[in-house]
Amino acid sequence: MRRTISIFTLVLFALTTLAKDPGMKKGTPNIVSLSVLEFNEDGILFIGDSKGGAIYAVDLNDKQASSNQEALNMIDLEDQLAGMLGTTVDNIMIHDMAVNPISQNIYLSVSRGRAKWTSRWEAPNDLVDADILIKVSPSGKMSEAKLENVEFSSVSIPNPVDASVEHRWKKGAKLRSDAITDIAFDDGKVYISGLSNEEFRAALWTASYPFNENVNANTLEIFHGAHGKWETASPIRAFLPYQLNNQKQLLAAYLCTPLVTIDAQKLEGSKHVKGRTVAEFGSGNFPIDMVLYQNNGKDYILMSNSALPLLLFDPENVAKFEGEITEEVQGYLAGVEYTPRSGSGVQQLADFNAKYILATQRLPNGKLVLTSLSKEWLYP
Amino acid sequence: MKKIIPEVFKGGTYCLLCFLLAINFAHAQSFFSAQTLPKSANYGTITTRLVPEDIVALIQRQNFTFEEWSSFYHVKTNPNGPAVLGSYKIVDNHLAFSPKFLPDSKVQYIITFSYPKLAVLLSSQLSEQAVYSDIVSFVPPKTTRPEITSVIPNLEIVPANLLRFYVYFSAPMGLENPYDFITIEDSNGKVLVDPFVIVPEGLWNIDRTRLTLLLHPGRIKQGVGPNMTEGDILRAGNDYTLKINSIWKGASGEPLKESFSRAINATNPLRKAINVNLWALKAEQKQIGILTIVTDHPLDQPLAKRMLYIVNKEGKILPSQVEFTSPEEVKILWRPDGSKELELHIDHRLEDVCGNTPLYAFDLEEGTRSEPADEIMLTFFVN
Repeated sequence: MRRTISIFTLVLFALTTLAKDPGMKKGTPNIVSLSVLEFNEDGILFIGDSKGGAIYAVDLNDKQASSNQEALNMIDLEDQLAGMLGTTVDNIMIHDMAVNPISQNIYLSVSRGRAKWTSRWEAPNDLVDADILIKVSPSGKMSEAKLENVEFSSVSIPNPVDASVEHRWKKGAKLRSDAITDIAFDDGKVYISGLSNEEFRAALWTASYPFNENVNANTLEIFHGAHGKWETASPIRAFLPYQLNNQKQLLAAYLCTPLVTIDAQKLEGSKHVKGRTVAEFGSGNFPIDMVLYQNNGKDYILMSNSALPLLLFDPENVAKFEGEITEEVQGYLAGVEYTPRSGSGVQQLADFNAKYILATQRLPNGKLVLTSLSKEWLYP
Repeated sequence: MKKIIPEVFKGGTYCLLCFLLAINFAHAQSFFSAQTLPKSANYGTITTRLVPEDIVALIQRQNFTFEEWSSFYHVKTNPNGPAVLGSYKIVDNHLAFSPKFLPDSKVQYIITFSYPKLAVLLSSQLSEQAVYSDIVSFVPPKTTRPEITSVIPNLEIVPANLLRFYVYFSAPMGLENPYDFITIEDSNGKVLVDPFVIVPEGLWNIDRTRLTLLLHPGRIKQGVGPNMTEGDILRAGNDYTLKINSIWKGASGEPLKESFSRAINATNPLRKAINVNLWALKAEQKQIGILTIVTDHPLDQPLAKRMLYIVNKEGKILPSQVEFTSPEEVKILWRPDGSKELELHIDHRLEDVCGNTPLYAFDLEEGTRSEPADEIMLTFFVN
């Protein structure tokens, strides 16, 4: 028995060692802005730092597996955060949320900056840098996740948009806050969307993980049906990698609100890549987050928005959609069908556990709740 | 605001807290003191009164986490809410808490220190048994409400073809449209329509403490389209009021401390080039040299500060400082180098308040302007 345990321990140790990123070192990462968060299946937290122009992989030593299948609901999440940050609730802002798939601990990048909001088009990162990481346990216990003396590695993204470049129409905003708009981990690769200094600013970087020095940079172009033109300056706001018709694609949502597929095979060298616009979901809106989940063994995608309700669509319908939108769309709606779901005011989304998707939601009373959306009820 | 009570406070209801605080107020001195240090790395601290040495020694042996510290000594914004994040340390037998973020002057912080809870954490009996609680507000940092420190030209009588106002602020202003807050009214209180050139976000200096208000040159210049269709902005002989509304916010988010209003009377337009030969120069020199110049036109002051130099016979520009006692009286202070004969050099880009330069009047047609010839200078002597 003792020998069995020893072998098991050795195997576990070996697996742990193999899974570990050899580039990691212990210390305090010099992160300027906690712009976007994403976990991989090994519980490594990827932090996109727009201001610093880098991606950090951080091992938070949060590996205690959880089999929890309960919902988590926290009324007045901002009030709790305001208490922790020693300020009033109207000053609190959540920039991103990610759930560690191993422990189900929830991580929020947070700032004191909501009081600066002046326009509905402003994303939290336009206003102020998120500067604190808050951990919420599956039972709702909150604490600070300190990024000090942790194992981490990092890679710089090449040629992120310069800090001095003004946003064309967001008053006072700099494009640098959109240097990294979203990140996704898939099959040993970190995909990073954002803006670069290239003539065609919209960028998609691809980094292998564990990181090496080589980060692939592609510029993007998409047809925006609602505007009736090809666009190269607007960044992807939310995306996720998905296998469509046996080909790896990135399903990417843009402001105002086209859905585009980008062929991952084309993301090599420094190619200029054209996306295929497969839907227009409506104007006056920007997508905030996307999450993939299963209901009765079937995949669905849920998308939260700044001005539209939760949108649910079936990736199979994306796969079946032939052709692409290349002409101006009248009425702002076209392409792949979607189902609007009750859930206006939903902002951040993350796959929580087998039964629930976790969401932050602004209620009509002005409160922001952390709420669990039952996957069982989320179907078209 | 002192209180020593038995262990009855269990972090419970708000009513109980209010009761405890009421007891606090009945006493004299608080167990806690708060200090805001906005420019320090710690932002501020809350410090306990002296804690007995034996207890401090026990705490020092531990390496408490934030959760452990805050189990017996916590700062909250809401009695039922989480503890404010921060760090703890022992300073000369006082226990000090420093919040992670700058304390919010609008927030009242509820502080509790419990010896019984510390005893539980240390698993030992303590000589002290009291629980202290108090409400503390951090002294707000010095006000950040911006003020208008000056509006130039500081004249109540201005030429009707005035080209610019400069508005100076005590602190950086925000990104709101400046023209939403600034008006010129006529003597009937009627707001003039579009008197300024609208530059998106305004013409600011780099730290947004000086705004240049450019009166529409197309309406000032005679005979050009806007002047022909919309007429002059200011008319000689009429009274106006320049107003700046105090709801305009500074970069800190705070509005202006007070509104600004200045009555101005428009007089005859000034449509001639500056004639430096009409300037009266008087120089005196002791430890520093002072050249007083009475000009023929009221000068554009910010521009003049960059366009007037004192040069010695060897051609060396002497360190100097340009000050205005009025738009028509300039004092240039310079550091003497022993020279008795000096030159005042005048950059040909110098303008008066109406945009006239030493080379041509603002109203002169473009084609008739001549390029600058030699440098413009006036020689003067010192004792």
